[in-house]
Amino acid sequence: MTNEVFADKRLLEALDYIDERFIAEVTEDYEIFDLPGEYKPNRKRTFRAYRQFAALAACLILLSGAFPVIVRFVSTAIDSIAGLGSGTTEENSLELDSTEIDSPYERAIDAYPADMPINEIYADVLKGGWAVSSNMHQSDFVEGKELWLEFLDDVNNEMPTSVLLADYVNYYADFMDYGVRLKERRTTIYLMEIVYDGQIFHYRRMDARTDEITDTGAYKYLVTDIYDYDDNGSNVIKSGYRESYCLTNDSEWTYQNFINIISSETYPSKEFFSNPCQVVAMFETVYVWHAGMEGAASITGSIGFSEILLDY
Amino acid sequence: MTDEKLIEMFKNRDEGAIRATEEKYRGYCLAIAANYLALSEDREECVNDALLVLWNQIPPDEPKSFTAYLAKIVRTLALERSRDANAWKRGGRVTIVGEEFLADLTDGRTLADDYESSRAGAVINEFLASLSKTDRKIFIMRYWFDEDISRIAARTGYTESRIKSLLKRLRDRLRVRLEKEGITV
Repeated sequence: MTNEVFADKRLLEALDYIDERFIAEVTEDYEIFDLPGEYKPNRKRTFRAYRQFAALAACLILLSGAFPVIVRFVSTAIDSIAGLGSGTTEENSLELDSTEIDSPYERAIDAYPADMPINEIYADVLKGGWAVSSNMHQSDFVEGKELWLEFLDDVNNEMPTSVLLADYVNYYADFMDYGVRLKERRTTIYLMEIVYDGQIFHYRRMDARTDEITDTGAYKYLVTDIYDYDDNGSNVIKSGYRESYCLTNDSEWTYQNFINIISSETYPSKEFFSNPCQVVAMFETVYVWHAGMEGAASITGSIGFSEILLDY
Repeated sequence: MTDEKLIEMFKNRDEGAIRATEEKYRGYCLAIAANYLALSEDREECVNDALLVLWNQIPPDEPKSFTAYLAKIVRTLALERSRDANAWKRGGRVTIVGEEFLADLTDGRTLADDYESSRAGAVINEFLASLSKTDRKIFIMRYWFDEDISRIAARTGYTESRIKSLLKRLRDRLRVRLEKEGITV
């Protein structure tokens, strides 16, 4: 008899090899009842997380709610493609290719000399009132991170009416595989415009080359991450160094990170939560990271923290 | 009685361990078996067999998570019993989960041999390790425990649509991962 389940049951049999520690994550969450399978989730743990989240959310809203803020992120990028074995481009080299760039948004960066180190470009942009963020997917962008943190210190509890960010995006073509070096790396150029109406962050994402609107939506909260990397520049997060600064409403992954953050008593990023300007200004990093990691689904997909707040 | 105490009793060959385990985990085991076995008699036998397996396996096994260890035993026995009884044809939830799990992963093609299963299992573990804890738990609840979407939604606080879309994304990602490892699906 032809039966899809029988024919492919070996794939189901592969589930038998699932590590017990993963199974334990499920079994240890539930109190045990008699039949028929009336499991009861650990509401205390969930509720505590929600309560913490709600408290923080309320704080952010109160701090930022009265002042509509238009935050514009201007992305600039250096477009380079490196391939394994291609030998055409050094893996960590960055080149401005003005022949491929034809957008008003890149012209600011395009004005810089092609051989100017990216971090010097960042520093110069900062002087002009722009802020710079970096995805920092490679160790050679550690300097950019330092500039970024300096910028955050300078902001110092002020809520600007307009913040322009120039961003270097290092977009891995195959980003979902942690720790796997990728065959191709390229950077993208896009514009992120975010309008904050006091409660919701409305955003639109535009391809900086074509001015095409590639995505629109709204976040109740925003999130960003900064990662530390090993000397090889692979996307390895060192223990204790991963930081989230706010929340999006689109990713359980990010939500879990947030819960981890607020559960920690010594995590420095809690200070950033008290400064909504810093929170807003750092949005772009995680957005790009998520775009590379999850694709559009995670950005426009599921229900998120707004629902959680309502449930609470 | 704590799980540590139970394990100690098994290791000391104290037959009270079996009674104590049954008293503490009977409902738990029956609930897991119920996901795969329609008849209460089959579930009861499954639980009894699981207790015997525990007695025979501990020692030398010393599980870190007794509940997970026990769940694995019960699930394996229940699956074997259901396959033996041709229960896949009965239109129960296992079949539905199997079709859902496989539909996005296999495109109707078949794996070659048992070696593929163990390789696929290793890849699945790597894939699960890369997930957030919440995603991983939902995946395990659905495909290992064979829980209904509605029950998973009730336990996690997520809506059913969110659970479904999440599972779809996870299956797609797993498929990519399996194919990248050269595992034909």
